[in-house]
Amino acid sequence: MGFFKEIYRNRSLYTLALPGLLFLVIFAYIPMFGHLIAFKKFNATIGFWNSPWVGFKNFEFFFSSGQWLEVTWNTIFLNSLFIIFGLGLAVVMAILLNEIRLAIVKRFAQSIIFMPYFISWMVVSLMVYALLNTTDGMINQMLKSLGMDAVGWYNNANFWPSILTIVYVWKMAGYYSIIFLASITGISSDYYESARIDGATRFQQIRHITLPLIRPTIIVLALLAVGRIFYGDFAMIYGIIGDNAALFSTTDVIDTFSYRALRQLGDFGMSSSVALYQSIMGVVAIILFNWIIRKVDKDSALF
Amino acid sequence: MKLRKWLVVMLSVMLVVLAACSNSNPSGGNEGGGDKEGGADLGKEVTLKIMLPGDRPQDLDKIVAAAEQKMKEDGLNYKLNFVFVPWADLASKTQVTLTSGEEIDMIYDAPWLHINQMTSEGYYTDLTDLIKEHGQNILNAGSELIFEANKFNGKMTAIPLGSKNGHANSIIIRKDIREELGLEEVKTHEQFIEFLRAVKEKKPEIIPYSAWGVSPDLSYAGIRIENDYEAGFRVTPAFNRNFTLYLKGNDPTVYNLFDEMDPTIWSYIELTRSMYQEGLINPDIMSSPDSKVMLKSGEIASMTYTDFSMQQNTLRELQANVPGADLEIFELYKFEKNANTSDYKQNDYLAIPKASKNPVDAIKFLNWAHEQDNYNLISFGIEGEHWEAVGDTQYKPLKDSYPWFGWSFLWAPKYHKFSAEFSPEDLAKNEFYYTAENFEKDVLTGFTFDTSPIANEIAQFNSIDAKYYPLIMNGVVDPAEAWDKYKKEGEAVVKKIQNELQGQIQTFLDGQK
Repeated sequence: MGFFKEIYRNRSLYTLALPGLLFLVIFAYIPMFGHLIAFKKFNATIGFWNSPWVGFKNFEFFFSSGQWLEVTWNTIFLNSLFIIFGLGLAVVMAILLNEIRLAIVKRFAQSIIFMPYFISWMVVSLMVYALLNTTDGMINQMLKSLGMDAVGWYNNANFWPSILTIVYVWKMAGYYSIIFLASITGISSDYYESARIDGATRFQQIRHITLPLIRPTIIVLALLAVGRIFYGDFAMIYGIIGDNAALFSTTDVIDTFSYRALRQLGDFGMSSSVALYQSIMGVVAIILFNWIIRKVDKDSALF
Repeated sequence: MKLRKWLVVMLSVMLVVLAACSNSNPSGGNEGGGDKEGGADLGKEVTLKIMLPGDRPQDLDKIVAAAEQKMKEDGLNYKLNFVFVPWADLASKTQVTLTSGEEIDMIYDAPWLHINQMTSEGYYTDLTDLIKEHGQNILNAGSELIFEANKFNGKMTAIPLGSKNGHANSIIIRKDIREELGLEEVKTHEQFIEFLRAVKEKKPEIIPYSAWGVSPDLSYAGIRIENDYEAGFRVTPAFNRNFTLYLKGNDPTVYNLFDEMDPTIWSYIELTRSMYQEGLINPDIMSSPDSKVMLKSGEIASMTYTDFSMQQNTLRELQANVPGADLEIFELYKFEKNANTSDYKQNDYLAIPKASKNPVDAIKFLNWAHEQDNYNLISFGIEGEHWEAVGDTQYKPLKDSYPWFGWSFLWAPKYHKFSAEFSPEDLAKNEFYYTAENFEKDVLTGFTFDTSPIANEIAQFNSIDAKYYPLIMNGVVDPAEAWDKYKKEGEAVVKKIQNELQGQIQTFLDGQK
């Protein structure tokens, strides 16, 4: 009866957790039954239970297309770039922000780098187009004025992993840096004081105090991101790349691929099969990443 | 005890939210019984709920009040309750409304939405007898050909709106640039390409030609194939924007470009490629924004146009950005009797759901609206305030507060008025286009392709198609190399789709004998 005893003893704490738990149950656990749709020929008009079971038929379009490996690879590759550069630069920015002593400058800098986070991907895509288009894009105008040839950015897929990473970092790193900054602010100033007394330079303070102490935050954010590594950022990729087939070979991710395949059919079953594939791979990725973390640093692992 | 207080607050918030959610549903339907100012002789007041796509016109309430007044004078005690659903939610919202059995009296539906599915699952009332009894005006206002061809499995389950026949594309050209370059009006494709070359050479800051890159049917190759009247290429019911499977003339045989490449189609593809390489086509055609936006801002000198008469607002917006600019149309479509086929299928329909408690009243209302004066009131607003008549068949809007939304609910060719901005030629073209009798009847009239047996193949093909076909048709890649890849990946699924389509067509034709 240890379980109930425990609940009773800490009843106020558990009550406090109740809304959050309810939220999870309603919005995360119950919808999991929706994965069953992946095995049904789902028809909204006859309802979930009356729709016939079809086994793995809904998975055929994806796995027999020959493109599933390419889009899966693109998804993982792009997301890895986003995670590594996004979090990496966010940490750097947070540390730099933390070093600013004048409060007003610090606030100003913070707001400026946070700003892009609020711009919608559709607007970002227009900005990217204004920068990169062949005819009067700003970058090509600059190249031309330097006597170079215009580059057909929108016709060459090889440029795009880097372009997307730059855009992602520009938009998202400010947001993550605020989280890191919060955890840096939480570090007791005693550490820095005693380090200074021992003659540590600023760089040494960063290396030996700040970084180790925000490591758990970095790991948690990275773990959360890895859990979604099989989900392409649809709003971003589709907003910027759209249906430009010339760029698919490096930018087509699972989400855009299945959107394109299913947008006319509107088949719930087939789209659910892709969602199920992404969820299962996401779980695998988390377990794997957590296992690695546990090898490296046991205390930082999630489980 | 703070915790307990918090809990109380939390729970009451949740309760309020829950109550609000469960309350929102029934509110709409039951307004009918409310006010009873109408005379007893008019019978019980009935509220008709009409669900349409888009935004609510600003002055709708004013027109509804006028229409209700007029209906009372004509002996109909109806209230009109228009519900507008934003485009983005249209498909899901209308589907949920129908499947949950909400009492809606009239609803918009379309083939691209879910009219085939909803009709075959029995959500719509069969109007055949109802209209004969209460809606003679509706039948008199349109062509019998159209009503006949728009039946679903022999039943009239929805009223077709308008009377479009196929689709007519053209190329729109900056007239002022052409004149500045000293060229004659474009009448042939040779002249058109000459114009593009002149723009490229003398106006390097302007892109000679663009189209919607993601719609391969609107690419230069696409419109050449579609408007080749000698060969008579037509898309199949399987892929509406892709010629990999195609029909030739008015014949039910499905051809497959993977079996044998048609030399004419290939020549258009190669021509488009050479134009792209020459710099005559927008180099970023696959990623550029809406080409109409580019036209309006003066960035491009020509583009594929999805209409055959010029929309004056496009011209006005262009002139606001580029003073002195002018536009003209290079016609690709033949306005000759029987030069084009039509299956007379319309894009828009109005249906009466089975859940409606007032189907007879709905038809009576529509019948009333199919009288010239009433049609004018509902379609264009109050005469003198919102519009004025120009001749018998045209009207001039006086205000922006009541834009025409009748295409989604009330659109009878017999009563319809065209915009006063149409020139006499445009008017003639429109009248030609909206007259079903000017078209040869498509052999596949009445046929609908059931994709469910090959849904997997269609989904697979969609992604292969998106990967290669738009690039090939817009000239962005080397066509020979891309076609080989396209064929290699797509051949097997396209063959399956072709066989299924040909089989269904055969069954359909056998059934007609």
